[in-house]
Amino acid sequence: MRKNTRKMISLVLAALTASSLLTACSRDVGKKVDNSKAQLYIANEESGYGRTWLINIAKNFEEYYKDYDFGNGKIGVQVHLEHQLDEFGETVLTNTFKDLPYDIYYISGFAGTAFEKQGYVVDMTETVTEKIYDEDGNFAKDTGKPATQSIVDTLYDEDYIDVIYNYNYGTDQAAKYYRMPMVLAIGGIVYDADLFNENGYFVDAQGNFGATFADIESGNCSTGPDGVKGTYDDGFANTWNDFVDLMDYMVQSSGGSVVPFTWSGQMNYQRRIAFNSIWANYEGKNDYGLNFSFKGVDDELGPINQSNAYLLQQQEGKKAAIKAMYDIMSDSKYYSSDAFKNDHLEAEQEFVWSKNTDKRVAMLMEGGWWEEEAREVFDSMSDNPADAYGQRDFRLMPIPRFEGVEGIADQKNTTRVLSASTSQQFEWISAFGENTEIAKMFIQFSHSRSQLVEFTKNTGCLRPYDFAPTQEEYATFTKFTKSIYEYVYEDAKVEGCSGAEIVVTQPTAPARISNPTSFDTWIFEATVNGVNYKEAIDLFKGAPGTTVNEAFAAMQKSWPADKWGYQDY
Amino acid sequence: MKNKDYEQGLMRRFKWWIYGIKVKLFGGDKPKKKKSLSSVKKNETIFLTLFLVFPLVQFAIFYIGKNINSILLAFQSYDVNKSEFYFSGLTEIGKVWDKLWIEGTGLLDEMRRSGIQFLVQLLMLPLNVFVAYCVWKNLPGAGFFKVILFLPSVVPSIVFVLLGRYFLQYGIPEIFNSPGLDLLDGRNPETMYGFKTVLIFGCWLGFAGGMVVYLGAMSGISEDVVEYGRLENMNFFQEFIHIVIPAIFPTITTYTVVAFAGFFTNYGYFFSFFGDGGSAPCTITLGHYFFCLVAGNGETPGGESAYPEAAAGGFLFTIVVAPLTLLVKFLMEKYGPSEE
Repeated sequence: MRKNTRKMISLVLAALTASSLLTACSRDVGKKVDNSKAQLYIANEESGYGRTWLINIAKNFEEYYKDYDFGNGKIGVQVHLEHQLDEFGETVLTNTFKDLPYDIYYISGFAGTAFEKQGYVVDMTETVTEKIYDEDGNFAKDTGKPATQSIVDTLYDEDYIDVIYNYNYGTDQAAKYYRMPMVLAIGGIVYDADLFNENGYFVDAQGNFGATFADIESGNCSTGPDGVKGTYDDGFANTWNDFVDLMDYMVQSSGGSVVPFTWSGQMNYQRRIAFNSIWANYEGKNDYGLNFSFKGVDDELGPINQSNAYLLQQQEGKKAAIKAMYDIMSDSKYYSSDAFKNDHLEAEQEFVWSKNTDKRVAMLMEGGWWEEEAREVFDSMSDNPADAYGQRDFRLMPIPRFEGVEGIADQKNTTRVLSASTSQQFEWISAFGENTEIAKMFIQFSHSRSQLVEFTKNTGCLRPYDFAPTQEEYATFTKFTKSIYEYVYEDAKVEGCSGAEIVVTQPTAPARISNPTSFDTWIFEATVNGVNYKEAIDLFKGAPGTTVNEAFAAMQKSWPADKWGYQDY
Repeated sequence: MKNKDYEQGLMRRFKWWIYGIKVKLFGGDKPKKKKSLSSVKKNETIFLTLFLVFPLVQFAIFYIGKNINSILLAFQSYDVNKSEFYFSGLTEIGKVWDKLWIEGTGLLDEMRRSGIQFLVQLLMLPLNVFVAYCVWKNLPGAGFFKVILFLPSVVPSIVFVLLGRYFLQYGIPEIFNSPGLDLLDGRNPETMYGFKTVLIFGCWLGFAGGMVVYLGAMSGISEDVVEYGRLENMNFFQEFIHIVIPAIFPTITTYTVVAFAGFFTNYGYFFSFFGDGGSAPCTITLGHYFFCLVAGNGETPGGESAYPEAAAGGFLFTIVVAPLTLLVKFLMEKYGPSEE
């Protein structure tokens, strides 16, 4: 009897263990399945963009197709969403992808490119080239206007096509679209415009600090780096020297209660974003873009191909970025004492929270998603409605021009250039999902104008597709999002303004694609005093006596010509 | 309306239902035919085979297969243009050997830090044993120490790392009113704060593992032997040296041998604190370097092109450390104290 009881218990335990395995393969991702409707399963790698945008688009999709006959008696569609970070990261997903039930994935790029090679994802060529949108990006069938555009036609910049289309892995196969870029993750330096206004950190027409929004409004302000009045950057420091003076002014005029910068010393991406934005803006789109394609002609260095791309380490724009980091590190009053201790969330928190402390932070090195990522911090301050999410005035900082800066050749590029890590995030349709046709419909729906707006409204980031929000929609954007939109699309509104050119930081050179680890330090790597530094800021922290020229020379030594070894492609 | 009879009826039906399942599964309580010895043996063999087949296959793939693959990779290089491996003899091993002796871009500093980490580990060993002995002897405060030192065994180490990081970076500067103080700064080669702090942190967490193992070993010491020590009027330290150390020496040998074997691969808590060490170049040890070479840094995955260097490093270190480890084991077993 006792033996049988033991057997019984063993069986129950075994069944429980087995059931946990079945749970892992479950298709139920949180919502009860309505069998009268078609089903769609979506996986979202929940990074800085959050989940609200996808929840809303999914709801809109369900609503739009609520009366649509999907066949087999299914009327309407039900969308199931799963939001995970590590589970949908490359390391885990590489092993689990084949067994997961999701039809669509919003995940990071590296895992996906491998999936393309292995046939894990669906060819989306027809879906993304079908002309279904009118001239405004709305579904033509809804507006009655001619269908003139496909998803590919609405891409913000044809350079994206190189990233997503010409990826045929060195074979003779015709190139296909397997993925579409998700975000235009513009980054750089974010500044607290409220603080700039309150303390008069803008520059007036005579070149003195003390100007406010009212001065800018009335035209009593500097032209800003672009040299044109009446544009986004009016009132901002024209040159890098002016900017260094501004940092000093912030510290001196506030008696030390304002700290110009903070960042994350733990996560290098924040420092890299700032470094990249200065480098890109100095070099211009073509020359900066060579660092990812290894193909073309650099204005100063001449023809660049994969066999001599190490020469790009000599770009003056890099020296300018090193100089910028040097200046920021030149006085410990210019940055927060927590900057090197912070992780990225702590840096965001410090930036936002500092309003309630005696050390208010004026600028943060970050990407466009930061406001959504710091939403909890804003929520914690929402007792004062003026401090709630989306209410405070943060803006993307225009990069001052490098003119008359000691040791740096004068900047030639006059166009706003932004570095965007767009391509690290893509959307894919899984070959292992069972609802491929519905997935394709979702992709097309999510690219219609109103849904692109939905994304921007809820993430603070743009998608890399041309779209124009209505006035009502624009009013729903946060001030920071509006600043990005304005900075990028200002040419459409202001005569004489060039708008912004954006460089996709997704490598297209085979050498870079095949050796991601080796090129991880392409941005910066230098050995000084026997220590190998991978960020310029870190170098000036660890070896404070180092000059800009020494750092620049040490960086070039990290990519010696005799150890390069790559051939042209 | 429910009444007692109804409930009893329900219970009775439930019992019969359970009995029904039991009968279906095991055939009831009626006497069964006795199984023959051969059928019992056969069932046992089938059970054991099924039981062992999974770990054996796992061992074959993840130990034998993986190591064969690694050894082969150590003699290959990666063609960055064709994205493929090719046999290159001792090239990669030679490259790693050369790199070991170069400062800055090489691995000399990493080797030095591994050496320091190894020495600290060795120096902590007697202290670990002695603290475990104090707890075993139930000295005043032993219970408190037991809890404090056992805590890291109960709570996941990554939680301690997070707590430690927050306390060290934000708590300590607040307590000492020194906002600029960063005990986890891994950028400055002069102060080496980050490296030293994490080493000390590792020592504290090392007590936890040591305490469990050494206390376990001490609890196996015969009462008679301890009693004999008392009769011989041994004091606290004599008992430690003449009774406890010989009794647990096999455990000490194991720990020492493991420390030697891990010289090149141990990365302590450095990865937990600093990730790939990109922002803390003055903390990287050899183990940390080679781990990140393959694993990547969280943002950039480790690429195939890095595999030959990692495999060559592993091969080279095995050649150095395997005989050394065996020698240490042999010497400790031969010349170490015994209970006899």
